Amino acid sequence: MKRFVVMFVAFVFVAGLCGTLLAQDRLDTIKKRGALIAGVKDSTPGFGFVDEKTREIVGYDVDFVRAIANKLGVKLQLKPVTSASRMPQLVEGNIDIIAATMTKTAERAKQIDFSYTYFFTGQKFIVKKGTVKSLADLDGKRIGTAKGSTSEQNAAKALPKATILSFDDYPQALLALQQGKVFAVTTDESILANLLGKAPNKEQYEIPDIQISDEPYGLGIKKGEKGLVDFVNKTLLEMEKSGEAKKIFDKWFGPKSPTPLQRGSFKITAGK
Amino acid sequence: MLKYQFDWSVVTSGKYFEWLLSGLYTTIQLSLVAIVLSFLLGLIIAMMRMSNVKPVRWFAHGYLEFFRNTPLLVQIFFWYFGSYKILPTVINDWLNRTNFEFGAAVIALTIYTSAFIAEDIRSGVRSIPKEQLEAARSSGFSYVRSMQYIILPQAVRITIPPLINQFLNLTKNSSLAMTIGVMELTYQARQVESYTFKGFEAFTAATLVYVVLSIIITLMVTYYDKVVLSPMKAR
Amino acid sequence: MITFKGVHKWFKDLHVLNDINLHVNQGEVLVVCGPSGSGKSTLIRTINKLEPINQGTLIVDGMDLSDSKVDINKLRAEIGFVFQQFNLYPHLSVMRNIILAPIKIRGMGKNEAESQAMALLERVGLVEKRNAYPTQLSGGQQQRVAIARALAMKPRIMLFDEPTSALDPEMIGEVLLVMKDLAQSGMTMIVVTHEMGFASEVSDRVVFMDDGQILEEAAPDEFFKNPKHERAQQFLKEVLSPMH
Ligand SMILES: Nc1ncnc2c1ncn2[C@@H]1O[C@H](COP(=O)(O)OP(=O)(O)O)[C@@H](O)[C@H]1O
Ligand SMILES: [Mg+2]
Repeated sequence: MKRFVVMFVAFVFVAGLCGTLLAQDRLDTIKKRGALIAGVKDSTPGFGFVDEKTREIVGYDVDFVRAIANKLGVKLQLKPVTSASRMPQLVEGNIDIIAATMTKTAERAKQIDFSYTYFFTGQKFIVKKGTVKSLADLDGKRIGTAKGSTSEQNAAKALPKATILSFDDYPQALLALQQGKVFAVTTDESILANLLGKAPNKEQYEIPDIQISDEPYGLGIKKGEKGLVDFVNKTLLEMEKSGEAKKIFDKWFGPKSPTPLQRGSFKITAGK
Repeated sequence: MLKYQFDWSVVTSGKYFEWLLSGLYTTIQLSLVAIVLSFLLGLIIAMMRMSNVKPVRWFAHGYLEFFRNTPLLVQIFFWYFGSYKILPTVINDWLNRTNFEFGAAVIALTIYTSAFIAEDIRSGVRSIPKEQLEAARSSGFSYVRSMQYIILPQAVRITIPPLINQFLNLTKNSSLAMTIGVMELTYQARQVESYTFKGFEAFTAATLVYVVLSIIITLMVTYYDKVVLSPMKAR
Repeated sequence: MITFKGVHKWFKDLHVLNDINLHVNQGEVLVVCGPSGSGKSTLIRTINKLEPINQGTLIVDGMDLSDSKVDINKLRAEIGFVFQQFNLYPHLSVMRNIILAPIKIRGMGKNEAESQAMALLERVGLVEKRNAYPTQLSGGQQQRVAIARALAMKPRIMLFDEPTSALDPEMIGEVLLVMKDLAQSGMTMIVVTHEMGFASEVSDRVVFMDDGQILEEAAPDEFFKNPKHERAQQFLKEVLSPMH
């Protein structure tokens, strides 16, 4: 309810501004402000999470927006968001850019603009070892995930008879799995791998090779901000070319990381 | 700058309307069950709080302090996740086969609200002149029966306005059940938002429904006051 | 029926009942009088253990009140108590005020309880008020209902604590009339009152209290004509003077 009030107030405010202060270029705003405000997750290991020692939010997503801020010559300011809150926050103008494990979908692209894909993964499941051989073993079961994510919608589509239980965040979904309250937890493999990496008695669980969707992650920018989108895309391509993008991947998901993933043939390229 | 396109059809018909409707149904179920249980439990705790057996009184006092001062969200998580560590495996297995999300939410809402209700009822009881208890006791009613037939009906009558408040709070608080996946109204409104990006419409609809629910609860309690509890003019 | 033997009671340091010795026979009507604060209320409230005693023996209807095996609720059901402030249950109608205890405690059926209540209301002259609520009645009417309520339990003893003190003068008569009627029916009654007319007309014995002690105990004629104790004389002068 509180969020609704916030939305409502913000909406009235924005609507009021629309008449007078016609769209100013976001890129200018950021430069004038001297800071890029990025919405990132703060409890998604690997991508955006609080470092136990420094108490700061770090991760793959954070490093990308930091590179963009550096390129812009401005400071980076992080704002924690959840899967459900990130789009409203962007639309309301509270953040300049979303870097929060957000899958590019056609539906979302109607509301906001996406950068080129900066991370690529697929949606899978964590289950108790040996309980799942194929997708059919999951249907009709209780499946945990987090609210407002594409994971929820993909799972509902792929497993029409399953009960999808959406928790506030993934760690709770995993806890529910460990307590036998759900049969599986589903979301992007990259997130699952990290979740599992941190879980106690992780050896009892596995991520079977069942993928229900492709998940290309994009950075989210408010619609109509061509200047900012172009700048971000240009930066992403440069990062790929200079090898910085791969370095960031290896830092968080390389063989020596707590949760190694395969980057495979993925490269940041222009286009969808 | 993005222009927000209103589209009320998402919440007035079709699949998303059905989601909201089923959310409403769950909210009503959750609230009604918890209202009845928290009222009964509140009565019991209030009586324990006023008991002249010291350990009973202390227990009730601790109960009130503890549950009123612990955030409801923490309590919901405690009953849903925390109970797992305490309960034996057999019971956990059984709970996991039931709709324990709903059950845990009911328990948390009931216990949390009962603590507030107990305090309201207690101050209602204290406002009843002690001669009423004397009159009842001298007719041969035991302490408990005196409470049941003479003191509590009067106290509850006085407590109606704060009780309405507690029931409304409970209904609003029931939205916290979504954090453990109970698909109540706010949960469904969020779902509609994340599927359609029509958050404004979805939450407006949800707000309206909460307002209507509040009015219905107020009317129901007022009716209960007028019809079930006998009229009792100001002393 | 009721026997006090060396009864003492204290409220903290205040010695409210000081060596009370008193015996009340079955069917007897006893009036207790004395200045305010002398312990009259406390005295009759000990009889149904609304106030426990600290020392001595108190035997009511054959039961020793200091015996923990005595079921106090059962004993109280046999003793009607009428308060100065009536203390009707404001949330219940007149009828339900009267039938509540017979139904819940005596286990009487609703029909039986109601027809008994009608008879009692007739006796106190309030049949037409059966569906009214206490606050809709005058003080005198409320007190008559309170008496009917007490009688509905078919008590063996009736206790009255200044039943007319809170009433406007024009209503005192109607309540006393009911009480006289009750006294003539053979009920054992203890009445704390300053209504000396009632005392001389109806009572068998008058007890005068002061400072927690029974100073005088006599037949009404004797007491009024020829009070022995100085304080009783003083007291009678005050209550009987037209100024009062
Ligand atoms: N519950 C009580 N606690 C302390 N003192 C009391 C209490 N009830 C009565 N008293 C005191 O005991 C004395 C006798 O009171 P009471 O029996 O009411 O006298 P009476 O009825 O003759 O006026 C008074 O001084 C009164 O203030
Ligand atoms: Mg008195």
